[in-house]
Amino acid sequence: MNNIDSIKSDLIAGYVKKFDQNNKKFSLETSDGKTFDCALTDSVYARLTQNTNENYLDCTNKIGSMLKPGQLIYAYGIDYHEKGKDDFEVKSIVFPGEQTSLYRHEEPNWWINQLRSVATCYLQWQFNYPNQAIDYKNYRTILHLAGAKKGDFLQETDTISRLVYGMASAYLCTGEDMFLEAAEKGTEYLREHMRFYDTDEDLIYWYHGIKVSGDREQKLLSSEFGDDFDSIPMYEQIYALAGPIQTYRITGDPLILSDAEKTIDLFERYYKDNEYGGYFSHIDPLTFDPLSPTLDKGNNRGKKNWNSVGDHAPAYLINLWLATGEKKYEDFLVYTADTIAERFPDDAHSPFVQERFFRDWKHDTTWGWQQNRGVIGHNLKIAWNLMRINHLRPSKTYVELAEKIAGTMPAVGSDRQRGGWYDVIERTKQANEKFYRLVWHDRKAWWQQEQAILAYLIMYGSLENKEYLKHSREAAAFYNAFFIDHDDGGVYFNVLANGMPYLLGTERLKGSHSMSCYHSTELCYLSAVYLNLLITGNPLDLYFKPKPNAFKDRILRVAPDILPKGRVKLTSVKIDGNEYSNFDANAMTVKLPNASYPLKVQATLTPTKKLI
Amino acid sequence: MEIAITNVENASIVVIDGDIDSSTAPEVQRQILPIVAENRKIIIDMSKVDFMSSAGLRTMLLIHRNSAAKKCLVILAGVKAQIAGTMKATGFYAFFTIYNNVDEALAATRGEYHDGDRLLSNA
Repeated sequence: MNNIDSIKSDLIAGYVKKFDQNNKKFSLETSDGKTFDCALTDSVYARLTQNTNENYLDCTNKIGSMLKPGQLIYAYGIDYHEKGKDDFEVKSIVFPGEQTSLYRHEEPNWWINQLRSVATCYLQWQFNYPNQAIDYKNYRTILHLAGAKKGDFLQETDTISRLVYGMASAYLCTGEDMFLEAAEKGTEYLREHMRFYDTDEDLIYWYHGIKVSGDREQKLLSSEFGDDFDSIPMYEQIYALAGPIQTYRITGDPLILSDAEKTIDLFERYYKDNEYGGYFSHIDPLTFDPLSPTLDKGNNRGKKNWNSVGDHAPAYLINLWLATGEKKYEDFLVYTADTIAERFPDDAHSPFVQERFFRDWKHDTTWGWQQNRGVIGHNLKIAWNLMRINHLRPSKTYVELAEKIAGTMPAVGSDRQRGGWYDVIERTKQANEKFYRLVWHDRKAWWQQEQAILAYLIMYGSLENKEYLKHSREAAAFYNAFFIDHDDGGVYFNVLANGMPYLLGTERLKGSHSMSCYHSTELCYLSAVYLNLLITGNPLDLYFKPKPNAFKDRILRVAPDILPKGRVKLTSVKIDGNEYSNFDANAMTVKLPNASYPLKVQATLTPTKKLI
Repeated sequence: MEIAITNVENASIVVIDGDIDSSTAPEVQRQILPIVAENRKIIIDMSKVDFMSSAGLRTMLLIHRNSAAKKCLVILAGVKAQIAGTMKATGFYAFFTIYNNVDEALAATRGEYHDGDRLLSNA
């Protein structure tokens, strides 16, 4: 067997160990300690990571001074496989910061600026705003790379809800009214067009979507996706709440709360398995029966999965608790975390959690695309959310599992040479295999990077282990170096292993069932929160616009996320631009004044500790 | 609520007399589902149904799904305006073939009406 020794371009992500300026040679040490000898070619050029809406930041002339020991760089070059000339010949370099300890993504407004930019793109793409009014009749699921509509007529509930989440998050961070208008109009559109209120059962479920043609619309009762065909998957119901609940945090609109309560009633009465615990992943759309033979069409009868058991927390439940402080939602969060901690670890077989189950929690390794495969992002999402719930109700079990995942995943789920995180991986490997096998490709999806960034940020912020800071920096540096679309706006769906955008098929799209302004904005919002308030020690302003008497007892809760107790205080409040003093700094609540119109509340949150 | 089933010509006519709600929907399901069979034609006379709750809507959809699987033609006849409005608002209307009354529905089963002749269009 010959080795593949053709001329090959590649990427090396590593820390500069030493630099020989005279010979233009340097060595790079990767995250896992491998050293590569590199040579600067005469045509080499370099750029500093730039944010959305920033111009290209050339730093070619500074390469010599910036290749300092300890500096993380992304070196793209060519390997010729010639004996005696082993240097990796570098053609371009990305610097994530100008100095070894400075990462651009840790600048106080980095993520807020990115959030504003991404959300503004979607306003323009979906609604032609500001040239036209925001009207969700014009919303379309599929958007081309540059934001143009593709001519489809499908409006999916959970996809619109994801856009609404992005708009609400953009308002929270910027206070710019166009984002709140988009969030509220989207929430209303969902209620008017996508909601089914079952009067007999007094509960709500959400249509899969509608097909629109002019003024006509056809409602699609059950999912049209192959995985979930002719069923109501829990996944879609959960994400139907994501946008409205993030909007609820801002406005307190009681109609949103009512919809959420009645949707959760659906979960409790029809999805919950009172015998074996957890929640079923699918129910029959007519009988609401999770054990209906009709679900066999999608191999979904009596099944449970990550989405149905655990995805409640990040999608809507944490935000619902933040807005209401209700104990029943706290208990629900703890129930999801306890179920995950009890059922998902599978140390005897795999470093990855088990994500799919039969009713009795036996492992389902035969379902559809998943088989016996692990999704990197789900593992990291579990670590991230266990930490959040641990801050609410401290649990050694949650922290141990989060730390186990965080400690295990880099070796099995990340690219230790080029940086970034992979996608779907076989959960077991053969005895003669060094690596866990990548299922479809070695590309890196934007949302998998998000899970890594948020998991390691909150873990460093909470546990102060420097290893977690390192992983958060590496993940965020890779994301910001390669995922931002500086030509057309927004972020790319996938990049190749070497960081080049992959722009074919559905992965070329900006609007899609998966994308639609959700993960990219969630990443921005929570990175801004974790970095500023837990790590870099910068205050953060959040904006709210409560409707008159909307929140119970006129108490507005402004906590940005479930953070470690005592680490953040509410230090200043402005209402309609004027200083306001009736607030509780530790509880991060504002006692709103009586008003007959929506008040604009600016809350300044200040960290009590700085880690770097 | 009462249900009467008679066989006329080449179709079964199911007359529902009374409201279809969470208390009566199971009975509708119990009586109609067994007669849903391959190549059969069933006309459900809804002219004496003044109210159909969401449980009723779901039951009707269940009948529709079973009939579609068995290539059995189910026609709703004499659906009152209020119920038709509810079915349209919820998106359920489009699933059914609907005629003004049983006579027209029977004519349709004889081939005298075609799909394009449906007197109530799918909105």
